[in-house]
Amino acid sequence: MKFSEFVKPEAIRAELAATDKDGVIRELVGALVESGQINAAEQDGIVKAIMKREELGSTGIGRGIAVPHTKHPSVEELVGTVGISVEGVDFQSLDGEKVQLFFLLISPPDRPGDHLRALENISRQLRDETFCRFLKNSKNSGDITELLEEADNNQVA
Amino acid sequence: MKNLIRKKVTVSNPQGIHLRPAYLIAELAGKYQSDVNLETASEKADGKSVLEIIGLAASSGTELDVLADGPDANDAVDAIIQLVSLGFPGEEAAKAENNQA
Repeated sequence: MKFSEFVKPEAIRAELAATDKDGVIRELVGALVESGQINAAEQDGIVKAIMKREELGSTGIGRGIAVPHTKHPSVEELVGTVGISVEGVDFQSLDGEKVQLFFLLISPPDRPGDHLRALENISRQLRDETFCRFLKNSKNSGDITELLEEADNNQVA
Repeated sequence: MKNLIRKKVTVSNPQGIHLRPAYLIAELAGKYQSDVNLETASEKADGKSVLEIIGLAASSGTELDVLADGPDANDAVDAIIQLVSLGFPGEEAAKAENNQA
């Protein structure tokens, strides 16, 4: 599943202001509200659901990457966004490293396949160290959108 | 010394290998000295890397090859086969508890 299928440019945050886990999740969910992809009335519930999922085990998967996510009945299709923290945020990652790259995903409860395909795409692209480095050095959401488009265009599927 | 072990397992949990199961596999694989790898018909992943495991996009019913190479290869493969074939035991319970809270 290509980035363009679940990430809207308006929801991308190139310079996250938040400095802790809770704050980053709030900021990114807020970005999805501002981009019109989720309803403002659902914002608190979604943030809580994502935090609950984090309690099961951090979604910080190492190499400075985290994929906070939840299922939520208020979305009809998978929605997501990308955020970058220049300083990095402590996310209790598997490797103990601070997280700079965030991919936040909210999926409808009955679509596990879409969630797997989004994870597959994130994995495929982030294994490319050049892509990761460019992403971390992106200064604005336009740069990020371009990088995601390039990644989308380079893949076969 | 080569001690390559390879066994097959079918992904049995309904959600497939999403992030949490990938995390559990990587955590388990990390306890062994052996190199651990997972393969589907089209993809390969380092069994100790969550990032690579989620790249398999292994949905329920996918057949996985679990490979290990090293002094404890047999134990590593058996442990991972058990985790996957039992559908990540404890995980659904943890989720249910989480939803109630």
